[in-house]
Amino acid sequence: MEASPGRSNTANQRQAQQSADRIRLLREELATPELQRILALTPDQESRFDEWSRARLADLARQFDVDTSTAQKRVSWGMRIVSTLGGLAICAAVVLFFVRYWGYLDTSAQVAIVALAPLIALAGVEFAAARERTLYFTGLLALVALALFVMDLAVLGNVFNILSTERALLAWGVFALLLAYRYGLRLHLALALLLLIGYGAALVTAQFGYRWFDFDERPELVGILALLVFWTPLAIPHKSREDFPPVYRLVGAIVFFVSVLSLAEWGIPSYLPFSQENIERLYEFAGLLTSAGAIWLALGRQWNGVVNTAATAFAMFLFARLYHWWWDWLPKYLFSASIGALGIALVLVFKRVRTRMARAGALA
Amino acid sequence: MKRSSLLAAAAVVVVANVFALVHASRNRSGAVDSDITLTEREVSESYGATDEDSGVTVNLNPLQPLYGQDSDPPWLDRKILEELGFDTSAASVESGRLELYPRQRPRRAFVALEYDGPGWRKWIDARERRFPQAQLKQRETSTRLIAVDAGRDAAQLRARHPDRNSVIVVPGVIRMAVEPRRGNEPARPYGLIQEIPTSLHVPRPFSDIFRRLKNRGTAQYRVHLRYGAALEPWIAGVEFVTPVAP
Repeated sequence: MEASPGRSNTANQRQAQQSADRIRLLREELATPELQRILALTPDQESRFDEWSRARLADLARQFDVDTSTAQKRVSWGMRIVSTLGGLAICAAVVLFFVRYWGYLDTSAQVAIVALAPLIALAGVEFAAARERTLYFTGLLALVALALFVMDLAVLGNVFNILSTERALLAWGVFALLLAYRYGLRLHLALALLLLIGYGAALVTAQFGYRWFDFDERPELVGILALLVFWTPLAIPHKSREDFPPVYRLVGAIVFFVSVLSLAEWGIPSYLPFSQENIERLYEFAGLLTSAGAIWLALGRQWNGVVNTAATAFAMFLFARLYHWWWDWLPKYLFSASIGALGIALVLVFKRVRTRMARAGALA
Repeated sequence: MKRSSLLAAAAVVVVANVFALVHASRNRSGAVDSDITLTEREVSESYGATDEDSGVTVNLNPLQPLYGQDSDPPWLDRKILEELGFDTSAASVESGRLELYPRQRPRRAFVALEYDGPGWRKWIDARERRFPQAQLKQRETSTRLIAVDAGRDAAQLRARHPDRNSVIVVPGVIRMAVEPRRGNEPARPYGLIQEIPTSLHVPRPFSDIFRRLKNRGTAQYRVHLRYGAALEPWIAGVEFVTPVAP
């Protein structure tokens, strides 16, 4: 994909932020008595380092609007959350405003407004991206653009009484994907991946003669598509979008484990020609196996998000299995105690793994 | 090339809109599949739920039997279910295999809705015989639109019901259910209409009159409805029998 305002902004800004973090940590470490005793810098050296690090941080802050202190970082996180919530609120406001007054307009005016609205919002996104380095307003406006495009096709379907099809999911997914890659927006990437997984599953479901929106009743298909999404970053390298592969993996892992969990608990929507009980047992086993495998894989590759997701999934599969085994014949207090003991055992296992990793890191 | 992804995003919006508009235009400009006039008994008002939505929608009100609301239509039998792709073979074997049925998800099909025809007269006669006291006014007030047939192919269904002024062919969703074995009676599969599109957008100027009718009790009107080549409807006209004050 070609160079875009979001790409150059986010890639350079990420590097600048990493550089600022390193300088900030070095300044903090050098201020500790222990390091001062070991290094024993002369007043002149201390002064020169202090002068250089201050100037460098100020330069990075001026050029890339990076956070140069822990407090600033906290505020930045708050701004990200607020801009997302603000974007959602503006989406709701725009849609509700249109719904309140659209009935007083002729059909041609209704169509013109809903068709032009996402294009105008898109122009606004481009305008904002060209003028800000942190992309808070860009992300907010991109969210509004996506919501307006969703409203656009929904209104056209309503006005012309068009039968709903899965194709709208494709259009929304591709639009969100293009916004995500152009401006470096991870939330849009996650939404795009969910929409495209939904489209793929709905397309196959409709081909079999079923209602397209019943795709969620056949989780196997959704699970397979989620695996494809999970492995996509290995097939398509993201050299200039280094923060995107974790989003692919996280969306893929969450959707996959939810699919397997629903099959393990309600095996009847399966394509497999076995009895419900056998299907449930099979998917419980598959869930335990794949979540344990994902933990192992993610620990080796340092995929933190996948480790957390897979560990949660593993605990849920294990809990579900123990529930089916013991809930009916164990006293409830004993069942709860067993789950607690299991939790402690898992913590001990993870602690051991962590110690081994620390040793390996020290040796390296 | 710097702006190609921006142009691609804009193109997605434009193409999606053009696709929807061309689809709607083809539906309305091609051969009309049904051209029918219904009354307030068959097309009920559903506008004005809240002041937050100024759009006006009316609902096509076919006599159920829709899924979960009435007994099964007797014509939606094993033959039609098999035509729609349902596997009905297990119905004749032991009841232990009935667990296969819930796995058969609802299927898309086409449903023929007949207006004020033999199907409705048969239904209302049966209702009056069954509930002689409770159904006294039903003949005068009930909707006269009733599902009479279903099939996988819309053209074949239309060929079986060629009167375009009294029979509408609409896409629908049919679910299979099973009447369990009773004594010597074998298990019997039957179909239920789970869904047909009933919501109709009312364009201006008709919507303005419907909006004025809000909270003024029931009105008498006739809705001229057309279904196009894609079997999607539009309201071609509304005639109010009782005058509506501006």
